Amino acid sequence: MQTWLKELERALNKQFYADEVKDVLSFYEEMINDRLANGEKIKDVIESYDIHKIVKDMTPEVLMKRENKGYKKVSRSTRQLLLLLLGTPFLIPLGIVYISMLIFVISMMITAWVLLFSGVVGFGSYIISMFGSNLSLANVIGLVGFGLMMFGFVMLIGIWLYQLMVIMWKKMIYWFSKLAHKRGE
Amino acid sequence: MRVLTKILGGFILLGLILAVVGFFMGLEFSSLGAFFSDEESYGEMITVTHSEEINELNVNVETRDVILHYVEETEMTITYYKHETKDTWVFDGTNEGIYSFEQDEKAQLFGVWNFKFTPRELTEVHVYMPSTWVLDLNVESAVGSIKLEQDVTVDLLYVELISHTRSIILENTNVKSLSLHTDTGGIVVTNVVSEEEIGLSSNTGSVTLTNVTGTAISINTDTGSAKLSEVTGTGLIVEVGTGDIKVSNSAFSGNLILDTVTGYIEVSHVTGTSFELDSATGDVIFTASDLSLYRYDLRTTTGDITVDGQDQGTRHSTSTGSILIKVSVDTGDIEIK
Repeated sequence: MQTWLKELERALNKQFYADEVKDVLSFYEEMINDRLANGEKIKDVIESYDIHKIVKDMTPEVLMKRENKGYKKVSRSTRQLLLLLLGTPFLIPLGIVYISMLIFVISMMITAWVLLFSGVVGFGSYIISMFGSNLSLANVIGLVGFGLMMFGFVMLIGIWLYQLMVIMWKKMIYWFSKLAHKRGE
Repeated sequence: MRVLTKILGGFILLGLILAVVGFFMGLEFSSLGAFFSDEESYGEMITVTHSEEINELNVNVETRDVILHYVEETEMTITYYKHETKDTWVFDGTNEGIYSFEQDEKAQLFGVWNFKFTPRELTEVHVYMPSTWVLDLNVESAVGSIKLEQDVTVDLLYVELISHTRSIILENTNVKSLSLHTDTGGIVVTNVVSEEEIGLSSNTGSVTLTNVTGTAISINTDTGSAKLSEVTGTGLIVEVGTGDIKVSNSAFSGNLILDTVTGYIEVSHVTGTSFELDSATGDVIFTASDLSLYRYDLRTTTGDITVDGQDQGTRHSTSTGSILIKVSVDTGDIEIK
């Protein structure tokens, strides 16, 4: 059994993080022990499991539980989910919907970055051109005030839009993993 | 991120305080207009004249409206304002009978973040042409409109006007042939007579023709509508993507082909040798004073056909009548009245 569990661990390590691997391993270890306690032979129990199938079947469940903190984790989860959706014939339509939504989210994130970049450069050129003009001190102070307010609002909108899209991206991983999990059942 | 949000909140608060301070220090809103205006970058009005009669005028401008006028003068006068840093103007009258001028605008680093506004009159080029000159007219403007509006009718030869982002307006003109194109603006043609064909096209703008005479008239627009009134010609082809087609009080000595995908077609008191009307999802309404002149080939997939108030189901054809009305609709209704 230990040899089989080692094999499973190796396969799981390629796809999942250590804590996730540990959870899956303990789940199968417990299940095998239960079956052995019910009188089944170890050989029959092990032969009834296909390691590759276990990894594939566990993917939606693991992705649902994954916290996806940080860009690397989100990116890895997205890649794994895409491979799962597009690699399983009956999940391909779901995969196409996921890709469409992903394109929208990424487009909005790029928009948010463009907004932030434009805000900084626009505010910079606004300030430079203002001090190059012959406006009175009162006008300069007033315009700097209006400029700061506009700059603040634009930057906040950009940041909030980006944050909203990141949340949506993470939620999409959860929703689509759940849908894939339900269809897999 | 929370820290950044707080900093930006601080900016907004500081901005508000500075705006209030500026206001109490005597902030003058009237002088702020000058700050946001790009007027200072333009010099005095420049006038260019050309006295030799020409038979071809070529204009190609990037960021100017072109306004053509006919005047009782003997020389052509062009007036414009030059941007001190961005503009390049080239005038060429060296070729006999041909006069050309171009305006190019140099793209500036971070020019896209320019928040200064240019008064409309500074971006206008006025061309005053002697009313006795009859010439070919080729005008192209990348982001400006093209207008030829005057009270008296003038004569031109071959006219080709292209405006990429704004509209074209042509009025009271007799031409040899007419070709107008816009990418996003509308086309308005009023009181125009063309000896030869008229070709109008627009990607997203609408086309409006009123009191226009030509031979073969073709109109093509992707998302705009086409509206024709008091138009005369040998034939008419209107192809529209998602807009409506409306033709009224017009006369053609040949066939009319009107085709739209999602808009409606309305033909009212129009004569022609045959009508071919095609709409995928819109209704077709045909109105005539004497319905006995027409024979029908009408079909709709899911709509209703009504001829002179009587329901005809989804397919209706007749063999009497000299003028064929062929209508094909997918989901709309057909009404002949």
